[in-house]
Amino acid sequence: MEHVILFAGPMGAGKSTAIASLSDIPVVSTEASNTERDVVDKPTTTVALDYGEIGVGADEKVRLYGIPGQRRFDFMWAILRERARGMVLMVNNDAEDPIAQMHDFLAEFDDLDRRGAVVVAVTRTDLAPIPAIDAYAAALGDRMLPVLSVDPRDPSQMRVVLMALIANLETRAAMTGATG
Amino acid sequence: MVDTSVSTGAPGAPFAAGWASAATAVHGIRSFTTPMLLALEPAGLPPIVIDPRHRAFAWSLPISDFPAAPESVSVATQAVTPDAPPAFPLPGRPLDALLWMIGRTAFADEAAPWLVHGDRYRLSRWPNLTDLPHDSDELTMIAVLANGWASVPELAVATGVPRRVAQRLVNALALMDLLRVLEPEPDAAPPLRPRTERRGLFARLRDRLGL
Repeated sequence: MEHVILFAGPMGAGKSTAIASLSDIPVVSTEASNTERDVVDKPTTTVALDYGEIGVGADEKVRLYGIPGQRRFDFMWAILRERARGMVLMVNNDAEDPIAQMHDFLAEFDDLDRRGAVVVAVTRTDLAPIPAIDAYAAALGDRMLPVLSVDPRDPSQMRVVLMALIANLETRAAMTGATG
Repeated sequence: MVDTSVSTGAPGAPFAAGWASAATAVHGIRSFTTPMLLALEPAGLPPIVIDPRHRAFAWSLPISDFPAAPESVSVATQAVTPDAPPAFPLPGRPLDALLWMIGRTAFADEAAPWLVHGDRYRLSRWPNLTDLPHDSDELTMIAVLANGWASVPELAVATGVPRRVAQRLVNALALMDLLRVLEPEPDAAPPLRPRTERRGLFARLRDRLGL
């Protein structure tokens, strides 16, 4: 049995680091030179996928896929969206308009959003305390998704993010009779 | 900052020593039209200053030094004008982290006094759990309240925890102002399905990660 969890979000939000914090195995990364240094000043970025996994039992795994942040790779989003059980949407709080970015990604993954299968993980709040976490929740309106601040380098915080995602999507499924 | 000052924690008090009046004061000033600052001073420790306008607090100690059962807590309030400068340099520390600690302990296993027996609750937003020490039962209860209405007994049944554990969580979330309230309807159908999936992926991952 396998469970696919996507890590989505704009370039520089910490997706690769988050997967490394959770994975049992060394993360398989496919990175290449960042041609958009004007957007995010880092030398490499995820072009295809990051992959990590958590073994749950002898034949059960949680597969963690980091998908590329740049829209020119959004064909990869469609491939994985169908298999995904849930998604960690990572946004960096020091971006120009991180709440708008959250909305953009939720629109792309609205099927997961509707199932309550998304957790919003806000990074770099130490560098940019505004907008506050409350502002993300307020922007979501009636959609009751977990919004958590996180340091993606911290495995204990990433475990909280993952467990909140699973708790919410399983509870939603149990209370609506939907399949998770 | 001394407009009013009370001290709680007398021996034999029905609640956990100290924090009950502090919690009641924090909750009470929400209904005031004038903004208020609070200073909470647990016995033997430096004061905690709260500026509710900014949902922030300042304390010279780490939150891990929060005393669960101080001998007493003095509470002082001060009215300020809406445009008065913040009580401390912003952003300060997130107020939810303090209210989570106070709310879980202030009334022991009893309901906070402003809660009405039989009311049902639903989450208005998720607490920032990476900032709050919690266990998997509390996470499960929060997920239930995020997805449906539940009274305290219903929440306990739905998640398989003792009622007193559910009560403490509801006390904390109510103090953090994260709950919507639905008054009881005599003929209303139970809002929750029976127990959520206890051996689902959540439970297996919890065991696997040692949480």
